[in-house]
Parts: sequence; structure tokens; C-alpha cells
Amino acid sequence: MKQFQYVITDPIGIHARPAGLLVKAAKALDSTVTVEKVGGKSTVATKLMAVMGLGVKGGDTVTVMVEGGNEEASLQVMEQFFKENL
Amino acid sequence: MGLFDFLKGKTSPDNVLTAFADGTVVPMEQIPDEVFSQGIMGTCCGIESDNGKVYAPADGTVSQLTDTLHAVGLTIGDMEVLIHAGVDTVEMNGEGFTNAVREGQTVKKGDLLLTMDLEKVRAAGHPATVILAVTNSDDFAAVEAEASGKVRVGDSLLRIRK
Repeated sequence: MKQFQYVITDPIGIHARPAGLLVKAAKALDSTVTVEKVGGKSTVATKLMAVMGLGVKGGDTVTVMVEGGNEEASLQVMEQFFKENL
Repeated sequence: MGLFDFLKGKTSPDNVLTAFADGTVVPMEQIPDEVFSQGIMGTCCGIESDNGKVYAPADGTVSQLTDTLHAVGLTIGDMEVLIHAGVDTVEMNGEGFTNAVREGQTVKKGDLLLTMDLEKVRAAGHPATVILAVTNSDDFAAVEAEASGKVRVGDSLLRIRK
């Protein structure tokens, strides 16, 4: 298992559009991706309503965990995704 | 469902989602937002609402309501459904939206969920299409449109095959 933390810079946070894009990106990986709002809930990144339900806002910190498959590659894809979209 | 479906091992009935607004059906591929039209949010269907009133497409539970009031999540049986009023309306920060439900509430088909002020949304430059997405549509065999053109609340809109 590999993980990183990220501070959300998009003021609106993980709303419908980035949540949909995150689910799409996570589904394309061979690792299981879990997103946790630090101090809050966590969910697998492939369930759209659950990802939206984390209620992640701008300024919140999330922990992203990847497990199984090519963890190094999956971690890089996820880090890139969060930097570009959130 | 056909008469001989039981022979194919189909035991559970299909789910039907009904029209969630009075208006004109917008097929998925014509929704003016690519995260919906390309199916990234799951199989979806839009309605160009006549009056901005958005209703429950089936009996279910309100699983989430965004702070910005423009989107409602519903759990309907084993379906996860997102109803998103307007395109990029997250930017309106709740202005022009009035919610009629709260999180955790049980709703019946045809119950009012929210009202969108069509003039305010259009004045802000956003398409006012109301979009329903079955966000876990991958879990089902097929999601098929059952209506086109003008619909009234309660008309059959989508059939979800297991």
C-alpha cells in the first residue's frame, strides 16, 4: 500500500464534475484507490456518490491510498490527477 | 419484461425511473456537459424543464444534498442516482435553488425535490437542463431510454435491466 496527502486547492472542493473524473481515472487503474478526508469519512474512489458524499471542500486535506497492482504507477497517476483537477 | 424471461434466469423485475420534471427529454449524448454526455457520471438522461421543478423519479431515500442545493443524491433500491439541476450550476452557490428535502429523508415517486429558478440560471449563462445519472450503471446489464420529446412527471423515462 502506498499513499499521499493532498490539500485541496479548488475552493468548491470535490463536487460532481471532479468526482466523476476521479472515478473514471481510478477505474482505469489496476490498484484499489481509497480516498479519505482527514478527520472525516473514507471511500473507494470508484463509487461516485460516495466520493461526493465525503463533502471535501477547498482547504481540506485528503489521504489517497493505492493498494494492489502497480502501486507506484497508480500513485503517480493519482498525484497528477489531484494536482491538475483539485 | 417478456413473457419467457424466467426461462433466461431473469427473476428480478426491471427498475423504472420516471420523468423527474415536466419538459422535453434531452438524450444523454446531447446533454451540454461532457462529463454527462460521455457517460463519465454513469448512464444519464436530461430534461429541459418547463418550470424548474424537480421531482423524485421513484421511491427512495435522499442520500445527499449538496450545500449548493443544485444536486441531490438518491438511493433507489440498488441504484445510486444523482439529479443535477443545470450545468455548472455549482458556481451559483445555491442562488436560485430551493430544496424541498433533507438528507436521509424517504421520498415517494413524484415528491418535489428542489426548485430551480430558470431565469436566474439562464441569466448566469448556464444551460438549465436537469440531468439524472445512474452513477452505478456499470452494475446493471443495461439502462435504456423509454421516452423522447415531451414528458410529464411520472411518465416512464428509463428502464434499468439487471
